[in-house]
Amino acid sequence: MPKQLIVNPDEVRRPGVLEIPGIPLNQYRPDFRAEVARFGAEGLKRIWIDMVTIREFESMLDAFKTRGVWEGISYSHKGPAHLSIGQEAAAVGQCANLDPHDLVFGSHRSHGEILAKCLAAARKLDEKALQGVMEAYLDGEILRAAERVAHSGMSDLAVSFILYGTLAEIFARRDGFNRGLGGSMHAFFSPFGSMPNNAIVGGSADIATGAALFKRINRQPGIVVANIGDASLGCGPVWEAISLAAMDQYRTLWPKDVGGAPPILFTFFNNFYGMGGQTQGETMGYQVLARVGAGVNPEAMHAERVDGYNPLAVADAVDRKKRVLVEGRGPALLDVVTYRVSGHSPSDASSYRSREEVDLWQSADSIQRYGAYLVENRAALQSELDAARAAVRARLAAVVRLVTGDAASSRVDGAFIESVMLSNGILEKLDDRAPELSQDLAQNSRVKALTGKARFALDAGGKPVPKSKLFQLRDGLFEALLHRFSIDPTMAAWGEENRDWGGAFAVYRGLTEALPYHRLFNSPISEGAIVGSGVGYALSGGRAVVELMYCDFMGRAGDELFNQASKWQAMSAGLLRMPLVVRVSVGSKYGAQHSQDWTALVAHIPGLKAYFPATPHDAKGMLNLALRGTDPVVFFESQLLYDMGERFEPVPEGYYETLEGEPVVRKPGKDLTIATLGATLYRALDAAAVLEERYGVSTEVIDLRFITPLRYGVLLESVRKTGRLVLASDACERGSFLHTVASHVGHFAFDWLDAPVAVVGSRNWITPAAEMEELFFPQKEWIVDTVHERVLPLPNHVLSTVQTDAELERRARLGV
Amino acid sequence: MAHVLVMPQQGNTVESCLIVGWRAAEGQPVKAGDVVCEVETDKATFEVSAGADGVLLKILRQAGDDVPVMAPIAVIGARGEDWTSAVPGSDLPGTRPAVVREGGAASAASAMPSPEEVRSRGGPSARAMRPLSPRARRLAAEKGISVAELVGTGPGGRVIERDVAAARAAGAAPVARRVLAVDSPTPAAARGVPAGEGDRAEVPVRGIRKLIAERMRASLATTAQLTFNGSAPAGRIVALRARLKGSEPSLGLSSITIGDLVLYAVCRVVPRFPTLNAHLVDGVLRTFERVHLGLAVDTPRGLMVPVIRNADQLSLVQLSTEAKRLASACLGGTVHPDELAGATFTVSNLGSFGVESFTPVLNTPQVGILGVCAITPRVAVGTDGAPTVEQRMGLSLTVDHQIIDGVPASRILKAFADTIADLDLLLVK
Repeated sequence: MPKQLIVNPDEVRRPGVLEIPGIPLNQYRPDFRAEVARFGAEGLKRIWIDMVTIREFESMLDAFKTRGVWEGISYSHKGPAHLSIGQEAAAVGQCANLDPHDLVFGSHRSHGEILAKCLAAARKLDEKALQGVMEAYLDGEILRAAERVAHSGMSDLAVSFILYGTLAEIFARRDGFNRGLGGSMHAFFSPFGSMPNNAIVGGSADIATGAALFKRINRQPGIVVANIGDASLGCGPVWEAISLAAMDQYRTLWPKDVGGAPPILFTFFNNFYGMGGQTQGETMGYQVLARVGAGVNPEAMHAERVDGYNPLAVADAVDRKKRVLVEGRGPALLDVVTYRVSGHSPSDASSYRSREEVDLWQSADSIQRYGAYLVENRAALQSELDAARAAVRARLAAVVRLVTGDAASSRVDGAFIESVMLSNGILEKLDDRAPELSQDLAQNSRVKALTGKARFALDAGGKPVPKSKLFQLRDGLFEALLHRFSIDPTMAAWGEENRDWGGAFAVYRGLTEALPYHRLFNSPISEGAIVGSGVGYALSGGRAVVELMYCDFMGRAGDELFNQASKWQAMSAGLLRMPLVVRVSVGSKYGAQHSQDWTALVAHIPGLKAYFPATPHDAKGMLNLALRGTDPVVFFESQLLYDMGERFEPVPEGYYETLEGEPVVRKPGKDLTIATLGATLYRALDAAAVLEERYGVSTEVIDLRFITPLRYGVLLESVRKTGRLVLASDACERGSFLHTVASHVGHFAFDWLDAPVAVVGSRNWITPAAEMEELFFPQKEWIVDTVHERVLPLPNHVLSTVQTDAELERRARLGV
Repeated sequence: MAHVLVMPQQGNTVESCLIVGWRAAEGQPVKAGDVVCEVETDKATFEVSAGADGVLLKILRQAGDDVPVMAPIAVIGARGEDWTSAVPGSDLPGTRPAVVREGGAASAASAMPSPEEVRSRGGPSARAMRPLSPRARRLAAEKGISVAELVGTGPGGRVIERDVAAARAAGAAPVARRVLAVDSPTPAAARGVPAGEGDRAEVPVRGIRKLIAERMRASLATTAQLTFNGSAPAGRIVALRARLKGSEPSLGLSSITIGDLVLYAVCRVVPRFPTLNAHLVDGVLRTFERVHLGLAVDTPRGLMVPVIRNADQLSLVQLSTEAKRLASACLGGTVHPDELAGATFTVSNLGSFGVESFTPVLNTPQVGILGVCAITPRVAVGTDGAPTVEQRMGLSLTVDHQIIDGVPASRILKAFADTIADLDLLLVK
C-alpha cells in the first residue's frame, strides 16, 4: 500500500475491453544450419547422447524395479522410482543453453533433469574448475569411486561422477550426492546448478521463486527454473508462487538498479497426467496449459507452448525466456509438451490410458526422431550413434556394478542422520558486501524515539512507568531485526503489511525508512509462498525473515513449514543450510480462527526450532539468537504482549543473545513450581501471588520460553527443590507441548515428586469472542484450583472451577 | 470439621495397641498438644495427643480395648458438631477422615470406575495400597519416620511431604515419647476377691509381660534350641579393662566395660559363621551381611533387647557408647520402637550376678544367642604340671539345632572363647 500509487476511481471504473495477448503454440521451426552454428555438430550429438544416457538410466531403474535384474546384474531397489522415459528431450533441451549458475529445481520425476543439468554444466566448466568441484564435494568420496570406471580425461570422468553420484543417491548409499538421505525424489547436486527435487507435487514452485528472489535481491547472476508438472497447477502453492513472482512492485516500486522481477521460469513438463488423472479433458479446465499465463499479468508471463519432443525447440525457448528474465521482465512460463511412456511409478498399471495412446507417443519417440534428424543432416553417422549408445550402456553398467556390488559403499548410520537434522551454525553474515540501507540508522525516527524509552517497567523509585514511555516487547524485536539488517547484507524480510504499515502489530514500524524495497517488502496474501520463498531464499545462501500475521495461518503454509523448511537440511545431508526465521503471532480477542497457539504442531515436526519469548528482554535476545543461526526457527510472539514493558531484566541497548533452550526463573520459591510458555507467564505470576499471600505456598515461576531445543536442567533443579510442578500455557490442553515436558519431568524427577505433574491449557474448544475469553484461556483461578485439586490441597480454599480427575476423564472421553 | 483421632502405629511391625486409659473425658475441651490417652504395645507405652484444638466429642474405644492401628479411637471437634459423618459408622481399618471434594459430573452410565472412585475405594486393599508420594517416602526414609501411621492430606488422601514433615515436627506424638513406669500390675483391673482368702491379687498378665511370656513360650516351642557351655581365659580381658579404667580420662576410654569388650569380640566372631548371623522364618534361612547386635537389658518393666545396628563395623569406643546409650534409653523409656527390632544375634550378660552358666532363650527368629556369665577362678594345670589358678569367664551359647549342629556350635563357642582369650591382639588387628 505505497502511497505513491494512487488507486483512481476514474481509471478503474472506466468502461473498456481487456485484450489478452496471443500465446504462441509450438512455433519453433527447425533450421539445421542455424542449429549447427549455434551448438556445433559435436554439441548437437552430445544432446542426443545425453538423452540416451537418461533413457538408459531410467530403463535400468525400471528393470531393477520390475524384474530385479539389468544387464546380468541383480539388485533389489526398495525405494521409489518415478521414471521419465519419454521425456528426455525436454530435460536435455532445457539445459543446452543454461550455465552452471542457472539453477534448476525439479519434481519427484527428475532423475533425467539432474543428469541433464549436471552433464551440461560440467561441459561448461574448464578442467581445473571441474576437478576442483569434484574433489571438494564430500571430500572427494564420489570422485574416488567414479575413478574406478574407465575414463579418458576429466570431462569423461565427470560423466561417471554424475552417474555414480545420482545412482548411489537413489540407492541410499553414503556416497550418493546427498549421502543417501535425499533419495530418488530429493536428489540434487548444487555445484552444477541442479537444485533440490521435491516429492511434494509443485513443491519446487515457491522454493524456486525464493531462490530467484535471492539472485535478484543479492545481484547474483543466472536464472532459476522450476520444473513442475501440469497437474501441479491444481495446487494452491504453485499459484501463490506465480503470484509472488509476478508482483508489479518489482518494476514499479523497487529500486531500478536491483534489476526488476526475480528471474524465475516456471517450466511445466506437461505430460498430460497427474499420476492417473488426465489434466487436459478431466481434472483441469485450461485445455492448453500455456493459457494460464494470461491470467497472471499483461505479458501473459511470456507464455509459450513448446514441443518438448524436440530438444532444440526447448533449447531455443529456454534461451529466449532466459533473456527476458535477465532483463528483469519475468516471470516466464513454458508449457513443454512431453509424454512419459513409463507409468507414474513401477506400481502403475496404466489403467487410466489406452495402449493406443502410448503407442502413438512411442512412435514419435524423441531419441529416435532426433537421432534420425542428425543422421539426415549428416551431423552424425548412424554407426556413431549406435556406438555412442553402446558406450553409454557400458559405462552405466560399470557404474551400476560399483554402486550395487560387494564393494558398494555402506549407508549412513543413525548418528549421522541425527547430526544433520540441525546445522546449529553461527554466522554473523552470509556475504561480505556492505548491507544496503536507506538512511543512517542513527537518524531513524524509531531508533531515536527508543533512546528515551524506559527499558525496565519500574522507575528508579519503584513506580510503574507509564505505558507510553515504555520500551515494549515489539521494540525488542525491532532492535534485533535492525541490528542484523545492518550487518548481514543478504537479510531480507517479507510478509503481509510488512512495509509501510510496519507490520500488523507495528513490529516493523521504522524499518520502511531504514531499508530499501528489496530488503523489506509486502507479499501477496500467500502464506504458502511466503514461507516457501523464504525456504528457497535461505537454501540459496541468504538470511530470510518471513512473517505469518497470525499463528492460525500456519495451516495455509503447512507443507512449506512441515515438509520443506524442516527437512531440507537433513535431506541434503547437511549440504544445505536453512537460515530462515518464520515469525508468527499468537492472537488474542479475535475469535476462533485468529487466536490460536499452535506450538504443539511445530514441536512435533523434526527439523524445526521453536522459540516463544514472553518479555522484551527475551524477545530481543532470542530473536538475536535466531538471526545469527543457520536453522529454521518458528518464532512465536503473543499479541497480548507486544506492548508489554520489561519486568525482570532491564533490556540492554547493545547486542546480546539468550542461551538457546534455557528456561529462566522469573520468581523464586520453594514449595511449588509453575512453568509457563508464552503470555501465560503473567497469569502464573498472579496465581503465585494468591498462593503465597493467601496460603503461604512459596511459588517459583519459570518461563520455559523455548519449545525445541529445550534444556531441562533449570526445571529439574526447581522440581527437585519444590517437589510440585504445574505447567501452563494458552495452547489447547490436548496434545499441548507441555505434556511432553510433563512426561519428561515426571520421569527425571519421579522420586522427588510430591504429586503428579499437572498441565493447564486452554479448553479444547474454539476460541470464543473476546467477551467470553476467560472461559477458554487459563486464568489464575484455574492454576490455583489445579494446585488445590491435584497437587496440594489448600486450607479453606474455595474452588471456582472444576479441576477434578472425573472432569479430566470426562473431557477426554467426550473429546472436548 | 471434626478431627478423627486414630490409633497411632508405633514402629513398622505393630498391628494393634492396648488402650491403657483416657486422660480426658467426653465433653472436655482440649488443645492439639494435650495428651488425651495412653496406649501400650509389646514394647512400650505411649501417650497420644489430641492432634487438634477443640472438644473431645466422643470416645470410641475404651480402656482395655485392643485396637488395630489406624482405627479411630476418638473424635475432636466443635461443641455440638455432628461428628458421625466424620466416622462412617465402621471401625474398619483404612477409614480415613472424609475430605470435601468438588463433585465432578460422574456419568452414571459409565461402567468404568472413575479415577476418583478407584482411589477412594476403602477397605483393606486400599489401606494396603496407601498412596504415598515419592517425595514423602524419601523424606520419611531419611528421617527415620514410619509412614504407616500417617494420615494423608494430599489429594485423595495421599500421604504427602507435609504430612511427614508434620509428623517429624510433632516429635513423637504418634511415636513413643515417654514410657511410663509401671512397676506393679494395675490395681484397677483387680477383681473383687472375697476377703479372708489372704493377701492376694489377681492380675491379668498384660502388656509387656504378656508379650514376653508369649514370645518365650513360642521360642521354646517352635525351635530345637540347646545350649553349649564353656569358658574363656579371662586374664587378658580383665587386665585390659583395668588398663582402660586407669587410662588418661581425656582419651575417653575409661568407661569401657568388660561387657563392651565381650560385645566387640562377639561382633568380630559372628561374621565368620554366616549361619549364625541369620533368621529362620517359615523354613527359609535368611543370612545377613552386617551384624545387628541385640543387647539384653533388664528394666523395671521387663526385659528389653535394643539393637546396635551394624555392630561389626563399629570401633570399640563406638560400640561402648552405643550400648550405653541404648541401655539408658531403655531404662529411661525413651527408646524408639524401631530400635528394639531387627537384631541378627543377641548377647545376654548375667556375669555381674554371679551366674556361672545358664540356658539363654533364643530371640526368635534368630538362631543364636550368647550368654555371658561370671568370671570365676578355676583350677588349671600349669606348664610345670603343678595346679594353678586361672580366671575364666563362663560362656553359654544357645543355638537352633534346626540350623546349627553340635560340632559347628562347639566350634563357634571355641571361637568366642579364643577371641576373648586374646582380645588384646584382636584390638591391634
